[in-house]
Amino acid sequence: MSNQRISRVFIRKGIRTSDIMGLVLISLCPPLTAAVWYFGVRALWLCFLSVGVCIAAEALWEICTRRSLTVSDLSAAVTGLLLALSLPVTTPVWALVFADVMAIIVGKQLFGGIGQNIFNPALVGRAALLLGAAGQVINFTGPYDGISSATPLAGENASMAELLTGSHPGSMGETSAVLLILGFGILYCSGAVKLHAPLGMLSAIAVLSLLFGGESFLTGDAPRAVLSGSALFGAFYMVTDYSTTPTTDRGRLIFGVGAGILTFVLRKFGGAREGVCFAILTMNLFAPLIEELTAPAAYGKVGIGYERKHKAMA
Amino acid sequence: MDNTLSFGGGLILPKLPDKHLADTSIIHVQPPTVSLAVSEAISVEEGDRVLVGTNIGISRNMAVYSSVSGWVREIKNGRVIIENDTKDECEKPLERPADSPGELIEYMRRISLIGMGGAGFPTAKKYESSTNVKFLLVNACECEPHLSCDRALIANLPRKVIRGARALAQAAGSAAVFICVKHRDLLEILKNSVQDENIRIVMVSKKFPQGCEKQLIASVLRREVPRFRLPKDCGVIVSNCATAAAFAESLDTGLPPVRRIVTIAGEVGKCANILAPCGTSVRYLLDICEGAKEGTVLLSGGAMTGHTADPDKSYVTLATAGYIAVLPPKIKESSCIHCGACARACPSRIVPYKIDAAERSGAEDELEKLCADACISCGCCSYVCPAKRELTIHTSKARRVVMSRKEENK
Repeated sequence: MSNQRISRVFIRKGIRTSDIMGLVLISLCPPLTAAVWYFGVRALWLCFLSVGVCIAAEALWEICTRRSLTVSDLSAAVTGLLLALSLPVTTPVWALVFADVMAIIVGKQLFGGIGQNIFNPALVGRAALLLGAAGQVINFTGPYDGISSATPLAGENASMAELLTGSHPGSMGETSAVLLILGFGILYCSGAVKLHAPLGMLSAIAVLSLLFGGESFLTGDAPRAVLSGSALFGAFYMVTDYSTTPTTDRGRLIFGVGAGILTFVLRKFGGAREGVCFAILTMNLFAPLIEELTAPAAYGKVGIGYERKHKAMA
Repeated sequence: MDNTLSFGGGLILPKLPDKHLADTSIIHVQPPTVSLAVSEAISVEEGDRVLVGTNIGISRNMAVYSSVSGWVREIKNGRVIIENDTKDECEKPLERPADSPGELIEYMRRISLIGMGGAGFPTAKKYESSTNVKFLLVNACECEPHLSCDRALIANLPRKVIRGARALAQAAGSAAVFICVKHRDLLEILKNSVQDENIRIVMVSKKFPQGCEKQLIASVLRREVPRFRLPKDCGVIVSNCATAAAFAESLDTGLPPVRRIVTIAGEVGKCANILAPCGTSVRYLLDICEGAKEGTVLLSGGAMTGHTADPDKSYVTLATAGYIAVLPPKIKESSCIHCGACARACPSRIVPYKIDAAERSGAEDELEKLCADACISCGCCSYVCPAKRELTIHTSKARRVVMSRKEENK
């Protein structure tokens, strides 16, 4: 034993970064199952490919920039799977590879790697593909028949039952509400994420859609707004991302509500079916600000409203 | 949820296996030699006869007393080594002080009483100039997961703790006393032993770091000590229960406190609470406990807030609560994933991951803005971090940076 005094915490909680990322991967299994069930084996291959490309891109970048390899923390795999599941099954392989590389390199590594990125990498990849190769992606394919539809909001014509089970056109992993809820249930029950952000986002979408979504006031279809498009997928897997959202509970609620409002506005006035994607990317920009504004005052720090609450003795 | 008193943040640490914990029985030992640190004014020579309570010099401005009776064998490197004749012959007892704060505090100074919870702050300094103290909290929470010395003390000597608490309250000017425990059995034991209406026994949470002064005040009194102030400034004094018991014993016997209960626990052959004279070698205590296991490190204080110690160069002091052997965790720091677990666990409500990043990049102004001075080095942030970052080390460093900058600006 060295004579030098070492002061550090000698017992640690067992959970590592790779455990959390592994948990996210497990929680993505129900939506993945839905993807394979409704869109065929190609969905599975695309997901595998996407995960592989993301891991390879991260490893290559870290080798080229002489950083230590971080692929074992599984975060690249999560990005790859999230990205693949948020794209339609008809996405050409080259487009998927392009999106993966954009996600890992531009979305994550250019900012400094895991934890440093401002934008959600999977959403960056998706946005890059949408802006760069829109025609390739918006070609949404229905399950079984392969007939494509290009509705502004995928699932607009689907029945409620179809929205719940997932047998309607849309992105691979985003159609089945039931299995998405199941997947998120795994994530929530394990304690990895809290409800603030997803609930904030979904309730904002629901309320705004009910109030202003229809032809006239209060005639909107709130359940449809929540269950269609990427709303559930975004609320469960994108606004619960650690790196790009605030860490405080109140901050997460505000973040979620903000993302919900922007989603509604973009859907209603933007004409883009990509409301969720751009809403969350926009909110990502505000995450550090929200976090700072919602941080509690340190112990003993006398601030506005503080004395009233804590009876600080001076 | 139980309705015990608690504070914000903190952790519920998993319960350790019983074989890593000591029970409440106390083993008495007579080490062959004791080694006491004396830095100046050594008043004995090699070969001198000393008794329990003989003044042998001064260390850190406080008188040092022999903890055993015997002969001075050696004086070197600022340590006086005394051979123990195991007879425990005592010096002439000191005169018992009157029950006034001034005399009691003077008595604390004479017997060199220090805080026995771990920090070792001179008790007289804590109590002097403490006008208007309304509350005295006697801390028996002992939140370090391996330690059980305070528990053993209360289980065996509840009346001594209560008498000590009463004496400390008198020294603080008749403050209301709260004895804070976190185990129901101790609560019952103390309640059965107390007859004084001025002394209340309260149950606090089992969260870590419940035993920290500021968290204890927040739990019991629902108040917070303002930034850059001491508990004393706002009418509260917190003292450890071992300090109270030592003070009571000293008042009874007229001898300075020279022994304490030390927990030896963790990865050792047999965990135990040992009543050891000050200056007992930690190696000797470990041998009584059948030695530390292969590959472990020895920590002074505890696994959350302690530091490594060399058993051959460490000796029991009044501030030593225990020595713990643990297997060092095999971990590697990785990048922060911004999960916020550290901030949620922080009992000081600061954001360790931000302070960690600012400290590593040397952004000193930022540290002050982030209130790094509120860090109590409890270790909760490092404990929960999934990226296994050494948050506590860097946040504690940041605290020292902010404090020294504040000193300079004065």
